[in-house]
Amino acid sequence: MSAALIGYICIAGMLILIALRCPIALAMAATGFIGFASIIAFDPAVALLESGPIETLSNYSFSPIPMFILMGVFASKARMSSELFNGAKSFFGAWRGGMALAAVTSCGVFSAISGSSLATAASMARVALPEMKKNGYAPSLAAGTLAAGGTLGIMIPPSIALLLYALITEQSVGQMFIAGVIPGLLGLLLYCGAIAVTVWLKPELAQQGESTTIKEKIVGLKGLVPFGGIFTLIIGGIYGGFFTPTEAAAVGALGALVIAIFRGMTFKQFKESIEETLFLAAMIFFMIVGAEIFGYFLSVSRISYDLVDLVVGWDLPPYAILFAVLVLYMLLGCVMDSIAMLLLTVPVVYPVIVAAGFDPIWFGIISVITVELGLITPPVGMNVFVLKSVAPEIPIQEIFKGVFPFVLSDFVRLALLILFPWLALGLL
Amino acid sequence: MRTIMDAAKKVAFYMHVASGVFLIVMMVTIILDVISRAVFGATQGNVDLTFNGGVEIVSYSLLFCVLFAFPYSVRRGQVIVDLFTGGMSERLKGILAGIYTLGFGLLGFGMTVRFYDAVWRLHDSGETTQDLLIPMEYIYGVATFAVAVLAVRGVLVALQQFMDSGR
Repeated sequence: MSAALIGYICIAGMLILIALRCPIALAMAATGFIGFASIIAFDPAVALLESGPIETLSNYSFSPIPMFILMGVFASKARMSSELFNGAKSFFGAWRGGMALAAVTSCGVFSAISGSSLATAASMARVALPEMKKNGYAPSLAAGTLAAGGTLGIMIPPSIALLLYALITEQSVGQMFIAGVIPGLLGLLLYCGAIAVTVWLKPELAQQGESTTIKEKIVGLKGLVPFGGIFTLIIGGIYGGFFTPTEAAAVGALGALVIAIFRGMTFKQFKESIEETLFLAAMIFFMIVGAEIFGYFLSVSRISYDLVDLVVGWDLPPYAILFAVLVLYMLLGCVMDSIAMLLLTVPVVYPVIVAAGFDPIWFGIISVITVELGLITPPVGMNVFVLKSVAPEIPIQEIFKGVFPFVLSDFVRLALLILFPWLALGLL
Repeated sequence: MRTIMDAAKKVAFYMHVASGVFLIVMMVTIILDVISRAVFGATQGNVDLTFNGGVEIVSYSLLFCVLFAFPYSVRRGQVIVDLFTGGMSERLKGILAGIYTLGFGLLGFGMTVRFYDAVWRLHDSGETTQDLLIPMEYIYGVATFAVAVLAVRGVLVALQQFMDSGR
């Protein structure tokens, strides 16, 4: 049996395991181990259990992951989200649908110091959802806005998904983050557009709020200061060459901690933040270790090369290949966690995409946006479930209905980025 | 049995606390590195507070931070796809969860065996880290302890899940 055939059989087995509730980390590790043992031998496969975890977990490049998580958790615990939302509300609140605009803008700004979509959605939903409901917003619009707004966290740097993509594909983390700035802001703008169009078509979904004075607006800007400060420090530091991504992550985490302490963070909350960070970091690193073992197996099975040969043999136009990959991502995104999906698929898909002549950093942005769609599309839609947990009384179908305009706007963003790659690559 | 399970959970919890300490160590080390470098640059080298081994401290702190967090997170910190098993009975789900947790125990066991072998190999070779000259056998020794606890906890949590699914 050829190595590639063993590879395909093992991958099919892995997908069955995943469908049978096997943790993705274990499915990747077990498939990698069994596949490697079948192709090479048992003893070298056992040796992977030493080299794989040690090399990965003591890799300096991975150190920003727990620190970016820590930064986001500190920001959540410091309840910076309420000040942010109130500030944004003072600008947009008087318009019909203005509170939804304030919520989505706050999500975008919160993303600047939270690398996680789920953390962004959860933090902002706790603050904004009750107020939107109190002000007569339709639950579908309110919850949909926040579920979709949370997805901005995966693109606006610092983003853990972009960081992982850069590490898997050996691209510059700094460049990856900088490439995410315009697509992230474009996403924010298009989400605002989606709200405006939705409210224009169905005015009954949202109400007008009270107008605010110039002074109140200026005071409202106060909530933006900590976010702007940390974002500038991180991105400015990386862009200006002052920091490596690891250093930027540590400085950002410290900055968020200082702000949290000034805002009255207790030692108990500090401990909770560390605990939450460790759980999230363990979850991601379990998968990274699994992906590392799986990666060794992929190399020896030569599946990626096989796929490249196959695709080259078909003589498909590059955009047809890209389209096929994106459709695959959208389908997988419906059933799988975004980070897990990136770890699982990028090593297989990346060589095909590079062979088709696409820019690796640009593809990183495109793939993360596509993965991001999975956070708000049925049936899994993790952000939707986050919203459901914050507001159990809103039926899940109402939330999915509410995110629909935002899914459309994400397709528009994807199309724009495919048509105009400089939107992602222009700042590099 | 209950005593062993509680003891393993307690050990895993204290390792979780230590993991948090390693996380802070990572952050502080990087901050000190950045500050010392900035001071060096600002004073044109007159004040040199820079230190060697920052990258090593961070790298091995990351290793211990993650390995020490694993045993406590073996049950909670997992991503699963539950889309296709909505109709499955809770008992079967419990049994499957037990089997998979046992898988983590086996993974931990495999790593323990390999790390333990490495400790002796490194003891014989006398290999050290590049900057801080820490004997690698110590690093592997601590790592062996962490993955051994993961192995034990994986088995015990799996047993608990099997017992719970039988109720």
